[in-house]
Amino acid sequence: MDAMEVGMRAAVPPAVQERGTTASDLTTEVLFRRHFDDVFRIVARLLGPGASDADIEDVVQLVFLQAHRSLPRFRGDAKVSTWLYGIASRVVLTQLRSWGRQRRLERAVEAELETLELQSPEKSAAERQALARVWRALMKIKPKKRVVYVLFEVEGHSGEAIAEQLGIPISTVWTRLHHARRELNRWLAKQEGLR
Amino acid sequence: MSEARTQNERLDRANAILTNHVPKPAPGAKERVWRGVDRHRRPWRMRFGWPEAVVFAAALAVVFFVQRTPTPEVEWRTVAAGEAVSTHGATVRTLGASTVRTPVVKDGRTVVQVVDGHLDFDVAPRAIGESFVVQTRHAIVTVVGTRFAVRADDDGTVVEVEEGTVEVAPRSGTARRLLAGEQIRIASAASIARADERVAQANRGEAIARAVDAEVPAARDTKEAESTKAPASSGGPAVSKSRERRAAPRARVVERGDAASAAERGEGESPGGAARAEGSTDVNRAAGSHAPAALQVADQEASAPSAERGPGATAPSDSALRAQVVSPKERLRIARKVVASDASRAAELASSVLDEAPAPALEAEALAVLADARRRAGDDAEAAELYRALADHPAASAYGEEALLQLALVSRNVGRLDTARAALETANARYPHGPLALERAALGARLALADGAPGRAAAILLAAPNDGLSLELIRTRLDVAEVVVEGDAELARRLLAVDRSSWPDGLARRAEALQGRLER
Repeated sequence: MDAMEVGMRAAVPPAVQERGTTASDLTTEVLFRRHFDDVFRIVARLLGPGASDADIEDVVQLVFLQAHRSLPRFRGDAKVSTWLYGIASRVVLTQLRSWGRQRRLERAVEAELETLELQSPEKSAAERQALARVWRALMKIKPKKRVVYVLFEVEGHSGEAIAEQLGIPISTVWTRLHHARRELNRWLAKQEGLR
Repeated sequence: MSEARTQNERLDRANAILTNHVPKPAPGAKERVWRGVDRHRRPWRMRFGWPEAVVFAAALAVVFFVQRTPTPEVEWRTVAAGEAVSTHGATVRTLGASTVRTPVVKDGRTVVQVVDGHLDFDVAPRAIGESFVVQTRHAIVTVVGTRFAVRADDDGTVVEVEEGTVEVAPRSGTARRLLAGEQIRIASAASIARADERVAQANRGEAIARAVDAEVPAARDTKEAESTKAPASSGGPAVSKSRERRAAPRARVVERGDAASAAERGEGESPGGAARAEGSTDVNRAAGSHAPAALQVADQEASAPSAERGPGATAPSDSALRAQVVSPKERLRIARKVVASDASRAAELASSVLDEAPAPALEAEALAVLADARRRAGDDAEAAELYRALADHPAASAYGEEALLQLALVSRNVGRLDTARAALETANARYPHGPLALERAALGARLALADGAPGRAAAILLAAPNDGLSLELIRTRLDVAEVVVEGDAELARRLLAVDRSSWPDGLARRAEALQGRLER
């Protein structure tokens, strides 16, 4: 582990000014160092528990590469976090549009539930089971609505921030959120009825 | 009121569960991701070595050589409306400002290329072995000796035959012979993309279904036109191959008589007749555009609710009519799209493709969609039969492994454990190193565990490939180890003797606890 940490220090250049950095001072290294954990969390939450660590890391890498390419055009009109999380949301949406990936994530959630049902009802298993159940219902919702739902309800972003991140009108955000809530409720109710 | 409260509580519970789950990167994730970012963001010259440089230089040399090769003298001309030119045994009259290329004669073929515009061709009969060809960006019109009009713009190409016969082929697709009085339209990729976009924007399965149904009245027009004319060659023109996957064939043949009578009925705006309206080619636009009369009537009828259609109208769900307009590939694409939200609709679409005895590859894809739809609808028994058929299908190479795994899963769900085992064995034999090998091993071990044979379960897990990470496999490994830990400590040790550095924390802790029990 020590060797790995040393390697990491060598690979990631020392951070420049973390606070008060202007848009022109921003570098990919700074972005990565400052926002990796947040981007990882958002990507993982948007992909759901069906995504493996390798899946999440791949998508996070795509996010930072996209940010690296877009950095020269970033003029600091928006907050860095809003801009970067917007890239993350859009990259995840693109990934979720892939039929194969969507199927794989759904299958993983189902497999998780099947496995957990066979396990002893210890606390962590029960929590994971509850999470997988919610995600089984969430996976039934179209990705574009699901992304808005997760950003708003789970990540706590404001409607305006989501509109800016996804490049959609604010009214569309509310519409998607409304539909997502209604559909999620329906699927959860159906699940409760089945149990 | 209480229902609303229940709903709110349900959502609050779900939100609390989602919020409490805070995903953390696995150890080493940050380093791995940074290495990937760093490698790909470097300029190309730092990523390419000598071999790539040599290939690049060779490619440059080829381009240089090709550019030096003399090409026939051709030039683009913009011709004003109303101008008439006689050339190569043909009289060409421009009905609108047009951009054309000077005709080129090669191997007896006189080729005129049209970028944009509306032109009227009067072509003298050709000698045997000679032909007169008009090329647009979307279609190739081959003339034997006739009078016809071509209109090309960004939305597509419309060909209308006044005398004689022409053969029209999309740039990539099957040729179709047009007789006097017939008209055909070949949509451009852009206009198809717009139609696609409308389908993509349809939020629910019903909306997508409406988009499919909207094509049906047009099919009726096509059918009527063909039935009243001399027989045309079979098979409608297809759109370009690159778009064929995503869009239905858009070419339509409309009888001029129908167009005129439609205009007389006032059902379409038709200044100057169906085929003469300038800039009026987009048949996919909403009603009210300057579309040719007959085509516009078709669109208006398509967009009207079915209850408002005339008594003689064919029901939009008529799969025979739908099949003529919406290609099987397009139906499967829509079926895949709606299978999660509307399994019965997806099943209907996939069944309509299967009914037509399609090519093997398409049949396999339709089977896959139908099986998924049945599984999602909870019909595990029929899904199992379909997965079995898919697994044995000669063209199921892309689906075979998954079909066998799904067959095993649904068979287990309906209690047919023997079938599940047999499916896994077949899959192991056919796809020993397939991408689903880990999932298969996990399921096989679970089945063995259910049989009360933990030793067999352990053997399956120990024989599983070691080159990937499957959470399901890890959990199964731990479950089996927990079962055998008391009776066969050595076996439990072997099950735990794997690299656990990339395991999720919770599973790693379970493994450590087991290890502790073993050491005690």
